[in-house]
Amino acid sequence: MIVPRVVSVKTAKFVFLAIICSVIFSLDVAGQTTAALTRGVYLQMAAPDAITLRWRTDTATDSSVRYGTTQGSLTQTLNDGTVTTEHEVRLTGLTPNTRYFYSVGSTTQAVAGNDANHFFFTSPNSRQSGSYRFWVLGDSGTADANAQAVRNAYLAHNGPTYTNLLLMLGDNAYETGTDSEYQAAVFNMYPTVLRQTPLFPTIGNHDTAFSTDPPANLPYFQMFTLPSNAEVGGVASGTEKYYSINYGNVHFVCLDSMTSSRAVNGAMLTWLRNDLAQNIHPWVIAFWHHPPYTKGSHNSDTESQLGEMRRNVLPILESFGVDLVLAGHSHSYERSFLIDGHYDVSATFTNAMKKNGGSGRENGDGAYTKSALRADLPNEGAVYAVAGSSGKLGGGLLNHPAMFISLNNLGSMILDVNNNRLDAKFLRENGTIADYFTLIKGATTAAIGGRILTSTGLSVRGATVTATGPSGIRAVSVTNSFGYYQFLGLSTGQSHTFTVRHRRYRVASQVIFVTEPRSNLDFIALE
Amino acid sequence: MKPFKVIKPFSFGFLFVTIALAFLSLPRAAAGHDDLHEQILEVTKKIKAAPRNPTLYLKRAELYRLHKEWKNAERDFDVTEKLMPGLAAVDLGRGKLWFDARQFSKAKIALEKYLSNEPNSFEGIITFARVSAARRDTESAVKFFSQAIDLSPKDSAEIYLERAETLVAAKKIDAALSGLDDGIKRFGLLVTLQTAAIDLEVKRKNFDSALGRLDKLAASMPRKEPFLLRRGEILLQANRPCEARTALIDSREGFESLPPSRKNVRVVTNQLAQLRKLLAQIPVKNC
Repeated sequence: MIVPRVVSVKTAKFVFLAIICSVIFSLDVAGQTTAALTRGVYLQMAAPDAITLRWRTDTATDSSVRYGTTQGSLTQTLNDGTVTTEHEVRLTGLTPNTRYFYSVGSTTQAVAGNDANHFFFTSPNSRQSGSYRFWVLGDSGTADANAQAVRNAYLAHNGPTYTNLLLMLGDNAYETGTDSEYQAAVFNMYPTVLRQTPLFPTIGNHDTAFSTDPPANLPYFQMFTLPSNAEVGGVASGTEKYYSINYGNVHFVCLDSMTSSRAVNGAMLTWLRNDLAQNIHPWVIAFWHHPPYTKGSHNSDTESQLGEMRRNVLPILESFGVDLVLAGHSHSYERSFLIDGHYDVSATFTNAMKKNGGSGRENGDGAYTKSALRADLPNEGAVYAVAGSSGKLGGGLLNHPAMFISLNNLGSMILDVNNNRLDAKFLRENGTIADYFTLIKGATTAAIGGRILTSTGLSVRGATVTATGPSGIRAVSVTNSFGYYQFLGLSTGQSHTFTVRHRRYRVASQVIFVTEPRSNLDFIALE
Repeated sequence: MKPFKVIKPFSFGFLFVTIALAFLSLPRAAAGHDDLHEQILEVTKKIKAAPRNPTLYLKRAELYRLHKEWKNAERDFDVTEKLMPGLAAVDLGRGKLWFDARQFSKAKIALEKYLSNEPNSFEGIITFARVSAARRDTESAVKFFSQAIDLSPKDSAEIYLERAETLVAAKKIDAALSGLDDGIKRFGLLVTLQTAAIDLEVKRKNFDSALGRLDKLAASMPRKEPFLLRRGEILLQANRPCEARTALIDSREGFESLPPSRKNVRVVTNQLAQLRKLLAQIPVKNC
């Protein structure tokens, strides 16, 4: 603020009166007292073209969000006239994969934002490859020095990299998931992340105060706005307890292992089968609270919720090609080999269930691999991780045979998905990486070819076929005497537009999402 | 009743009992509900420090209920009531306790008392609905499921299913369908609700309605072949074999156009096996 060095008494009196008048005027005109931010801002239900902003104020006001793509120039405004302390505004009509700065408040007063720290990126378009970072916290709800250390380690490790999504694996606020416990364990613990990164949580036993039949006014349901109607992709579940979302080329499935039926023909698994049958995103990551495999502070051989999730859910997920399953509940870090088909107790685990019994580390036994960048690689193996030590440690035998590594350390998981590659790390509270692995699906490039024929089946020779990728990079191939063309190395995980030019024939273009080699991308040439 | 034999501290008997109890308690703690067990121990400690605090007994009673220790839960509810007579939460807790313990008549009495004081409690209403369903009192169950739906605007799709299941158990298929349709109106074309509705339409042999619902559901999904298979199944049940054959062939073409990786999904191979079995039942010459 610029302060004049010499101010006359007359000028000072005038300035003072002006300030008083403006305050009185603003109170009078708005009919509202000034409000202070007491929770948030936090981001929910991020989609390529929409996002929900939530925040809480100490006094009830209407809601207003100003936003724009340039910091300091928030040119668009969305108001909601409902007078409330629990503010929830959904912005729509946004551009995918774009940074938006924002401020929130009432129509008369901004309570936060319009600075370099209040921004979000909209999600990329469905199936779009990119470089995405997801932060995973499990059982983080202690609101103590442990949770702070885990958080600080992540912030230091992450630096300026944008965190695309934050996943919480349940037991987000101890002991019983009350509103004040959530305030301390979530909103006061991760404020800088929550105002930039959309949060997708799942329900743990402590979030419902151990109830398997929690009331509708459970704080968890009140404070989170989660997709129940396929607002962020997937098939509508009709409930916020379990849902799916798409983020770029990743399909996330959030299940409820606490309060919903885990029966094979129950509503949740009926929905899951339909959701996965429709999925076209090449990466599938599932998460819920009770781990299917653990020998930490819980035992998956003896506890009903854990056993039911293993027996009933895993066969469905694996048959639809799940890549990674995340859970918490045990306060440890346990990470499996690349495995498939293990649905019974730990004593029945065999080496044959290991699709890859190595470390999954490129500088060790090599990365885990699957045959192609597709959603539907049935039973090629998945990695199962228990990451429930973001707030406390629970010890245990830590000897589940499906696990490559089991640690009694505090920490969180970082997932980096880049096209056909997933890199996962377990970052300890002291900043060291205690585990890491890589999963690669198919090759980064694929040969694509086909033939151009007339409608009567004659080969079209000398046609120029151009493949244009999303960044505008082009490759050209000319058909031979038999009408064949081929591109040897088109990038997978991207849409390519194929156009054909010929002096005599007209050929309709095709847009293909390239996932694996193909030799039958044929065209019909018309005169 | 025989009086208990007093065991002196530090006697062999005391040592034996202590070791036996410790031995018995270990596998139990490890056998599941570890969190609950820890919580119970924690609250018990607090009760020792504040033995006249009714909230602590109420909390422990709930924990005992979740841990399926019915007698301990009942005892703690009794203590809570003694310390704070008229506390409505005790009646709700007892209702849930007796429901979990499958003593439905006792649950009904407790919940009636609770709901007379707290008529808009979601937990009370949904538990009462489930108790009524378990007692095969369909009318009451439906009434209370409907109330629960009204009180749970964000998250009631599964309650629509529970209500429908209750009506089906009472052979009130039309009412069950009508209730599912209310849910579909509210939530849109949910696969869980619409699948249940299709099954009911088939059950009451209203095949055209079932097919209409199926077509709507299929239209909302990018992949059609599983729905075409279901269409074939329904048409066969409707004794319309030629139409069934067409649907099944369309379904087979859909499945066959899938890449090999997709075709090898266990769910799909099962569907393909079912499809072949059904097609084999339809003689080609009749169509």
